[in-house]
Amino acid sequence: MMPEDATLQPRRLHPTSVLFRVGNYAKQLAIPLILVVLLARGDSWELYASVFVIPLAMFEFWRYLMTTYRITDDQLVIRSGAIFRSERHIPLQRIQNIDLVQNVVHRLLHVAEVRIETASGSEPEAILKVVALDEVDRLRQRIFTRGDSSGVTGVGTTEDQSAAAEGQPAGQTEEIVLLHLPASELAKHGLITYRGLVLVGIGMGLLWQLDLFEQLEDRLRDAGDLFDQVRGAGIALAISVLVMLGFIGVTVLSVVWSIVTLYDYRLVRVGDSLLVTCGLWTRLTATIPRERIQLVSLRQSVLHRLFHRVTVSVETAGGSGDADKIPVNRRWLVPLVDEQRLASILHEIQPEIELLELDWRPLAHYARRRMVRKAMAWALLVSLPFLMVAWWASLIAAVCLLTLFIWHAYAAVRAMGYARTTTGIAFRSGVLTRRVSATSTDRLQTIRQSQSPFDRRFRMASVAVDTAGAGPAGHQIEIPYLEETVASQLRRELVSDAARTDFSWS
Amino acid sequence: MGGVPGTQAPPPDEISRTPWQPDGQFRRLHPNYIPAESIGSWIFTAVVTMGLAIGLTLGLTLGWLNGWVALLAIGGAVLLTALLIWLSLKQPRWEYNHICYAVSDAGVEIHRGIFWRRVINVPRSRVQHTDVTQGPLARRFGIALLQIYTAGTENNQVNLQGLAYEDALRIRNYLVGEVRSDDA
Repeated sequence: MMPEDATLQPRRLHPTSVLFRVGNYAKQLAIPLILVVLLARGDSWELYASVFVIPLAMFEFWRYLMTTYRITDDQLVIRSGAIFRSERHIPLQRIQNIDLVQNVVHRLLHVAEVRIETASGSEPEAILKVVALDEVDRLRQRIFTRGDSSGVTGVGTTEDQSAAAEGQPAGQTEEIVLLHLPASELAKHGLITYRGLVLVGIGMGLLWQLDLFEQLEDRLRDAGDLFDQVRGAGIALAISVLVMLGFIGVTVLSVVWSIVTLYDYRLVRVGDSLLVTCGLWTRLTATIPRERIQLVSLRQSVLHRLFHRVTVSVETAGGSGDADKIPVNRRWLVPLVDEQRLASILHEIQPEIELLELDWRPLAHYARRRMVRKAMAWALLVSLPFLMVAWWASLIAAVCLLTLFIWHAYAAVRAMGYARTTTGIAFRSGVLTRRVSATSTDRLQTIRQSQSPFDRRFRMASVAVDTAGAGPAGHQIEIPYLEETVASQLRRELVSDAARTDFSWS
Repeated sequence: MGGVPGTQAPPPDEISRTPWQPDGQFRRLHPNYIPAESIGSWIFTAVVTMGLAIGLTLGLTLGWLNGWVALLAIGGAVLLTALLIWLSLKQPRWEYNHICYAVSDAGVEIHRGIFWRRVINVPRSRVQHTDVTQGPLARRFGIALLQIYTAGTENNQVNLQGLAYEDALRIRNYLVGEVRSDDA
């Protein structure tokens, strides 16, 4: 066992934290600085700002000296603040997760940024930048063997993952690798999610911020002139070549982005927790206790279906007494998994929540009629502005949009459904992007039934189920266009199921 | 008309007037809900009307509004004021007629809504904690607001305004009184 007094004394963070903090500020200045130097504009404010690095480093060093943490019998006490001192007490029992974030430099120096997550709030309760890796182990052991049975004991750091993954028990619990995504899978992920577009957006923002657009325009014109001389087709050809190059470039960028951010993705089960590690540049290590998973969601866009892959995300929440601020953790859990392996993975993630092979029940009989009417109304509305061009343009637009929207309405009604399982309830929807979400009855919080005036005319109602982790952007279990009696019945069943079970924070 | 679900009849007033019991019967709010809400509505109407009046006077005297625009503005203001007055007269009683609740071993069920009907069920085991509060107006009329907190996100807080103060306290005690097995 480790010596008791070693962790009872207040300890400082790792000395390199000064380096990282200063580095953070420098990073924000670095890219603009480099660009400024390359493009030889000497009057920019970024140059002047870099002078401030020196007093900044001194300040950060002072802050390093003033930050300490220690573990008492039942609390983690963190004292921090260079000028305004603060002392934060975190009851050990409330600590749910300890996540690690490491970039390349962190890994070279064998340190990590530690994020301590508790129940209250969606932000980590405390972030320790940075702590040595073996100290992290000690912290984990100390925190998680204190009367709380969330089961993550003795899990090694990222270096130990491979050893642990072989099946050698690294503590009291056994570790099973559930999923490992090699680069080929990550490449598919890149093609499917196409995050390159986001990067292009950021790049454009950066260019605009540095007033570089004019220079870009000049270069474009030069390129156009070049093509003029060669082929005589000028700007048009230049632009089309550019677009094609752009498309290829963004695709490559997306693939590279996925590979770098999800590099060596592993999903490991450690006792009752799931451990996710991934990332090349910045390595992320996150733990999710299984019982904190409130809702499981599947997502399949058109591209997903092309590759026969699925994305799994979960919503988690956990907590203790402080119920005023219920925390929300939105995590994608499995960025990409093969359709055939989906069932076994889901079973490992959360066996109580059923998502596959369900007896899907359709919506009300008149649901389709209502959705088609709504589609027609929208189609006509959107084609109205075309009247400004010409009456026949509006007509063509109306016909096209009507066909499109009505087809979509038909498909949407077919795609929507709900299912009751022995343990819970599931809901599916979506035409182009298919989504299925499910939860179990012991995770139901409140059940809502609502009827708009239109609903009342058609004797329909919608039923919505509230869970502890429901984030605003997620797929909610909200079932529209049910027959009134069916909705009422469903609500009563859910209420009695929920009443019979107890909801427990973990 | 809002009423006991499954039947067309509104919850009988007699039950609503007796002290609350956890028998699962649908009850209405305390009748003082109507005057309390009315006063709030009237205050709101008065404030908005004053604001409109001030705006119009300024606009007309300073010459921002002339001709057709002025007529439209005055017409709009008059319509809005009339609407607000009408709502202040009618809405509290409408709401009173359309809100009913029931508390039993299975939990709390609240029906509300005039045009947009909503029902919310909070199972008893999902109640995290409750608050009973009284604004100054509510205190004068002897009614209170019961706030039920759950672990949900959209329905983290379920409100029931217009209960008799003693009833609210009794419901609160009933909901949180029992020891459940879900403490942290």
